[in-house]
Amino acid sequence: MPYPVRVIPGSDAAIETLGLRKAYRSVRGRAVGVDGLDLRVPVGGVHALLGLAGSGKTTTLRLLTGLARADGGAMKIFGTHVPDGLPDLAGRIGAVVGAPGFQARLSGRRNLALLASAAGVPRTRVDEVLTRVVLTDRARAAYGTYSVDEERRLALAAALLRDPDLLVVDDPSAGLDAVGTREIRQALRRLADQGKTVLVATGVLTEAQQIADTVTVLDEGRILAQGTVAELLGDAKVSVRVRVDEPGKAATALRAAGFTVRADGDALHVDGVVEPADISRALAKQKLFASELVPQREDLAAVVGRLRPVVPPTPTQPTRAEERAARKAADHKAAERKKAADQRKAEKDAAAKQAAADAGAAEEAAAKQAASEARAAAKEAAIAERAAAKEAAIAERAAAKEARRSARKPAVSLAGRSAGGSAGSAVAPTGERAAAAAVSKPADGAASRKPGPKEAEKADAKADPGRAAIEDKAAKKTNASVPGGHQATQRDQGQQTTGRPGPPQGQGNKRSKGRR
Amino acid sequence: MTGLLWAELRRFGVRPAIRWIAAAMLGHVALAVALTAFAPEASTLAAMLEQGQISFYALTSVFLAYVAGVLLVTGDAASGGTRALLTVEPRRGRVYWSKLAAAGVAVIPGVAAAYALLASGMYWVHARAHVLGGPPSELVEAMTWSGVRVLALAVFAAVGGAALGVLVRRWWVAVSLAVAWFLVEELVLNTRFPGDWFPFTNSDAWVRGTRTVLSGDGLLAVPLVHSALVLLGITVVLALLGAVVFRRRDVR
Repeated sequence: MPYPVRVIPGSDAAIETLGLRKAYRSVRGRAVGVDGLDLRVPVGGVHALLGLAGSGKTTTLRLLTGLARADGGAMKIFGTHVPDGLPDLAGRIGAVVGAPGFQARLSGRRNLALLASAAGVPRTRVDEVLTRVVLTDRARAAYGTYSVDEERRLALAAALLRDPDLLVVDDPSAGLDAVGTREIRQALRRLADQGKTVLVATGVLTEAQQIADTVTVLDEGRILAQGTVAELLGDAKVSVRVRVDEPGKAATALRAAGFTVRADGDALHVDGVVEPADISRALAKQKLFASELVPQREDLAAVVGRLRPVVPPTPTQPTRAEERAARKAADHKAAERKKAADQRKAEKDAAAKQAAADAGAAEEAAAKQAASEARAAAKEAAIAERAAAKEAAIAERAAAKEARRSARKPAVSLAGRSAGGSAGSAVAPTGERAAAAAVSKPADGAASRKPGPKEAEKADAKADPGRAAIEDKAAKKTNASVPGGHQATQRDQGQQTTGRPGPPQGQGNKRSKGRR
Repeated sequence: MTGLLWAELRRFGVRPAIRWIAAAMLGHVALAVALTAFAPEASTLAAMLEQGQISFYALTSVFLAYVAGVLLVTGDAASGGTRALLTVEPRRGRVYWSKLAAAGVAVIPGVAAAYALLASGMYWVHARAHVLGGPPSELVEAMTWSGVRVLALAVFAAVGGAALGVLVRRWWVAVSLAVAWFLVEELVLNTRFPGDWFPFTNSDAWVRGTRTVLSGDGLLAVPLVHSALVLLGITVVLALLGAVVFRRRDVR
């Protein structure tokens, strides 16, 4: 045995591997090809090795055909251990792995004839396989003039030269157009229907779904799942993207209809749909109409993602260097956090200081304003007092003058008529009323009204106009400092204006309004 | 095995590089004959055979045969062909030995043609100038045997080249190794050590048919069998190493 081989018990599988391992080493490092592959391919039918690029499909085929040597594990083909038993299987295996390596200057037929002579196959077999792959017309043309489709068909013909029981094909539809892809898939399917075992490595999900009976899904050199295509991949189920005006209501309706719905932004994804028309029907029953209904088949990446086991992360003991690095990182992080906190605190303090300074400035400004207002009020009060005093003095003088004049008139009439003292007493009240009228100048009708309590106050104020002006100013100031006081003052002023519209008061009001 | 050999020979024959190598062999000897024709009286044919000028011209063809052997097993076309053969004939040993055999067989026509052109041209040039330097029958016999030895050496060279190509995988590495070894042997080793075991010295002696070495008793002729055994041994060792590697190595 050239390398350690584990014994596989006898079975009826066409291909069986046990713990197959292969790694590629280069100057860039070690890359895993396959890692512990336990493959089982039944006899007959098409078996697909399905996986993304780098999953180990081609490596598996190369190991099975003897083009590469395994690092470990065991392989059996038709019950024979390989690669040691490959010479015994020479006529039973045909393979298309990698570029076929035909000579461009030779015709397709000539290339096949060379391989036939190397394999000890009669020449007549060459024409048979050319007919089988529908390449007879182009058989005499130089291989260099072949299309990709024809190259693939010639490679398939070469693999069929010895009429193998097992056909191994790597990526059968690579580089082919739609027609070529369909033809080669049909050809592989026909071979399987004839009883051959066909092992296909492919990265195309639909290819596996269309032609394979059984499938092995590979990922990073390991088997994710093995089984029938219907079990693992499904054959007709799709996911449908739906857009409606009311996604919430639509989701409820679809769930009620038995669909699996998941929201994706303003669209809904309905999974596992057999017939997309059922979605339209379910929505229409609720008077909902889809603006978009797009069936989406599950792709290979989704299948691999679905089948890939979720491995919980295993805690590993960190090395000393890693611990040092982690400590350093933590210290650095803490220092950063502290620095940020300090900076935030400094900013906060600065903001508080600024606010305090603003408040002090505002208070100072308010105090200044209040002082200036108080000074202005005192000044006005003084002016009003002086004016009132002046007016009072004028009125007093006028009253005195009037009194003197009226006192002089009765004296003249008394002297002329020789009247008694009653006349003098009658004149005296008249003179006092005139003096009072000269001082107050009452409005029309004011004398006819019965004075209320306020009017009584006003009457008191009338008696002392200077004091009234001071009180008025004080009231205005109080109103200015109290919210809504301004309106109250105006109201009071209105009452004062209507109730006591004397000249001194009117002047005072006008001044205060003008100042304001 | 015959089918494998035939397949390899067919593949070998259709490769453009091989055709260019055959053309180079013929062109080289034609040039040598043409240059000699300008001054045939400079040296007689017998003297040229004795001094090793004919063998020098022939060794160029041997080197080209080595390159052809390397090219048979290296490059994309060769690896593709090997892969295709292994899918229909999984016995690696058979495939490997058929390749080496094909390399040895494939160079025979080209080298034979080149040597025939060289020998007949030289003879004709010197005969025309009446400077053969010996009896014609003896000269023809000596040149014929020299031709046979050149052919044998070319086969060894091609087989050794194919084996080295399998070992190093890249044609330019194998060719560079041969050129580098030639320079080292001629410029360094031959001046310090006796060249009894060096491949190029023995190749020259083999083609020339005799070899003189300096010993305590003066100049002595080294028997041909020694050179033959050295060259055969080198070829066998390379072929066996190649076989071991080919059996175990992955085919790209």
